Amino acid sequence: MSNYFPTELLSEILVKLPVKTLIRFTAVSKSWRSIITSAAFIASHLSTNSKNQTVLLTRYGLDNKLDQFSLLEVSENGGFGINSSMVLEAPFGFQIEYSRVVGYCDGLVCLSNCMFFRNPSQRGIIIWNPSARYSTVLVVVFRRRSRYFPDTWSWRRLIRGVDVALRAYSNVYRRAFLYGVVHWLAKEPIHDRSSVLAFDIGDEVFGEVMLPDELATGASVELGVFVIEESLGIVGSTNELCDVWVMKEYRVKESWTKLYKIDLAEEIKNLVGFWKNGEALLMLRDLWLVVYNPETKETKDLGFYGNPYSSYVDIYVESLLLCMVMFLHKCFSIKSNYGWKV
Amino acid sequence: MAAETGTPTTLTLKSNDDELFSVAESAAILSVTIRNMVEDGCAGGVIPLDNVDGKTLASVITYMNGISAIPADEEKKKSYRDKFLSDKDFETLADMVLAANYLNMSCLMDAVSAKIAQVMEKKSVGWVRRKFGIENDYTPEEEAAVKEEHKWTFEGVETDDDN
Repeated sequence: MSNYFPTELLSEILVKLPVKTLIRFTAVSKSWRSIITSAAFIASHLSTNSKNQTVLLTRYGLDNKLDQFSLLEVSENGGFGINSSMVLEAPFGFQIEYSRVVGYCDGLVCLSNCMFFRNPSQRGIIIWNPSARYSTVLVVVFRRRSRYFPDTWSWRRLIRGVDVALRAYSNVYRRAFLYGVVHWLAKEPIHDRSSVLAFDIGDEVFGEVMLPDELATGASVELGVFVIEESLGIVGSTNELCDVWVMKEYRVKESWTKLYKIDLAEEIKNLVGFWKNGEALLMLRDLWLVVYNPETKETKDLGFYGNPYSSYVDIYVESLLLCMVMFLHKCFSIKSNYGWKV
Repeated sequence: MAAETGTPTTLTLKSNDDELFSVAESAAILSVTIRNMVEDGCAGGVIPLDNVDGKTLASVITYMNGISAIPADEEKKKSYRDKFLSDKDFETLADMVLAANYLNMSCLMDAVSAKIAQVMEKKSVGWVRRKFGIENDYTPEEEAAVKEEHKWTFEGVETDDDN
């Protein structure tokens, strides 16, 4: 056989490998390392694998008072392998009682140390790549105009000449990130109308995404905002029902469609997120984490148990982002030991 | 073309070790390289494929015939591809991916490269160097340092079975 693989062809194969294997293969040769850590390869790996979702599970350990993170492995049939989770070291590098997943995007997780505001000498915000087991501290610069905190946070804009304030719900950690825009549920207090507050990260502009009338004015309906199969989704639940809606065409109010109804309303403790084919991940009262298939209306136990009040789940896609930084950083530290030229 | 007479057109393909193969045009044009030759009218005689040996070409033609016999059903095509590749060793897969690349057959290319990735996933660094014919240009100290830095990625690696 020919041993010669053109780089382009080699990249075609390598993009299909998981992050752990790719990091191992940086030891094959210097040219493999430069392929794997190049910006173009990292981008192409991300776009190839963006549908390979997994789950990042955060559990508060009652015994040691530390947050424990694990990535659940997905077995070949698309379900989770029971007991296959990979437990990760918390990336803060010191004991921390409360960390919080602020957001996640392209394989990176933003964690905040909730004690940071009391003790700013600690590391406050970390960008973490759990699948590469690498993190970096974000330098936070306080500016007056960026004081966006839950209780004081409001946004003012003119709607038909009337100055209206939309207020985000107090739990701003519940958000949906889609198309470069963060979405939170919000309330317009004058007409007691529910809506979605949207912040475009690129343009730094706030906007509003209107909800269907049924949800905007339904007084006793509890709402949740989600990403469902690459669309903006809303779940409206009461004690009796739990309806899943998607906005088929972004920012077109008329395109809100009721996707399905979850028949287990009274059993649901928490709706965690949405999985492949729009399946819902739920925490139930007696079982911990289950996946709900809307077609068969059956639930599948994922074999993970814990206290629903101290456990969080985020849907996660692994990536090589930050790996360029990781290798530069690590090469420099190696250089000091071995006199490498970087 | 031959569609009017109802007789399927047959092409003759020649490997780089001078083996000749007959294949239905409808199957062969899964290769964009061959399709372009047919459209340019260069397919009258024998089509020489200078980068593919006879053994690999025979395998590719089996695939062309197999996959083009399946109607437009992505599930069935996928299970045909999985079955077709299931018993192939690394060397054969490597030859096939090079051939698929040369023949510009994206569906075969995707399937074979995914299969190679699957084979590689739990392999050692040494295995990869041998199979891909890669010269290790790290010094022993550098290599030890790289391995030490990413120790956790060496957990769960299979023992080499290729000698």
